[in-house]
Amino acid sequence: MIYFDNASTTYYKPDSVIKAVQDAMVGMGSAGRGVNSASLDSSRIVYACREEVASLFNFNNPDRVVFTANATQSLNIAINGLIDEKDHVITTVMEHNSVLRPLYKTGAKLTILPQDLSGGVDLKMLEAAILPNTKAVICTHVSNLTGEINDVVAIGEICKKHNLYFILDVAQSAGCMDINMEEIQASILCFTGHKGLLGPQGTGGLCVANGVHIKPLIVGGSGINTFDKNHPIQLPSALEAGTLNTHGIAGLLAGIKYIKNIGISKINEHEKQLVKRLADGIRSIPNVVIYGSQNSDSGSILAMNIVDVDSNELADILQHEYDICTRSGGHCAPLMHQSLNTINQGIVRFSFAYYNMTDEVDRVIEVIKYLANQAYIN
Amino acid sequence: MLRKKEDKFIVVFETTTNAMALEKHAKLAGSKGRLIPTPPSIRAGCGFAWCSPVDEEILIRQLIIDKNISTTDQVIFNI
Repeated sequence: MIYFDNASTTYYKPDSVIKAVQDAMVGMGSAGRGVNSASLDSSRIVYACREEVASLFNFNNPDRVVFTANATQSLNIAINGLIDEKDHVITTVMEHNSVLRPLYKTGAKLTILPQDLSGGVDLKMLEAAILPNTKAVICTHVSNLTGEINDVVAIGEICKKHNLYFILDVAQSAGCMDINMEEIQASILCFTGHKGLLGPQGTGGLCVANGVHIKPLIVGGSGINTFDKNHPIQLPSALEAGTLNTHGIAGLLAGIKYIKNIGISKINEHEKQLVKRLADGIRSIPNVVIYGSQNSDSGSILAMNIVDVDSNELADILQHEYDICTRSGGHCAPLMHQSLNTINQGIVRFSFAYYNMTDEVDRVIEVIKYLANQAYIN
Repeated sequence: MLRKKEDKFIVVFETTTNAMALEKHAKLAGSKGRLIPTPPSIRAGCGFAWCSPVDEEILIRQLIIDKNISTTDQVIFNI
């Protein structure tokens, strides 16, 4: 099997990740729940993972790394905890439904910005869209459909200048490219553990900058202050009601160590080369359409179609006749498809990871050449 | 009484994360202390506390300052 659906989840996990999860399941108690040795071992792993996450994102406060089940949960916590119907929020067409649906639910007034020619959000339009009641800019780092990148450092500057919260979705970039929270000046980073970070599904989290106070989405067991009627307000406990997924967090810790050992820049370079190789290999094939600006610094994704062929049909052929896994359809990115005029056709997305090889890309090029030619003949 | 009581330096935290941070740094500094359940007479509930021999009070207090660890209590306690 050739697996090119890493933007959904990375398929091959390092042995160290699998072993860490197994070890945790064999020998760990509940983190933060008691002082027996099994519980303490679990708490130590969770704390070590907070430190690794903070280090990965150049965030100087592990106490403000909050663990969740995924990026969607992180974004729901951030958006519901900061935004209400009186607020105005600026976002972009590049967003996943994990940003858009929580925003729609708040009832806040939204300005949804288009992409500019670079593929990212138009920064002049962003600044011009700011209103007296604008509370936040909420956007993705990398489009999950086209791999196009937002200039998050520039967005962070604008947010700082206008005293706005900046909530950044790094689901597609964490582990694949360098993310420096201090440089970006983000108020909140929302990440998932099971994509570029190579951890298990069911892991993710937020990094919450100092001074940002998020109203908890859920409250309950905290392991401390049992007789207080209110949930603790201190991070990370404030946003971590209930038992943590320590088994998953143990795997996430191993995943982050694994990618740090390889080096983010090396991973990024390899994945960009694969995207470029595929783009160069299929760009000139008649009937092939590639979406996105295809900048040299785009993410690890290539979005394409063969003329008007239904993307689901193409993906199904790739899977069942050539054992090539892709993702087709809408990708939970409705506004991007609206913008690209691909709502009905959908798009076939190839997304890469460090373990993918150039010969796998070459095989895809060969198959696409054949299929595009068939479409032309038909 | 199950154990002979003696004075200890006890630190109580706002969060489990703070407790884990102090444990890490205290062990690196060679402390003989350890995490214990918070004595109910200091704070009722089910949180963690750091318990060190009293002669480590200065070391632990300094670590708390140096590593910017949030605490709710730092007391000598007969436990």
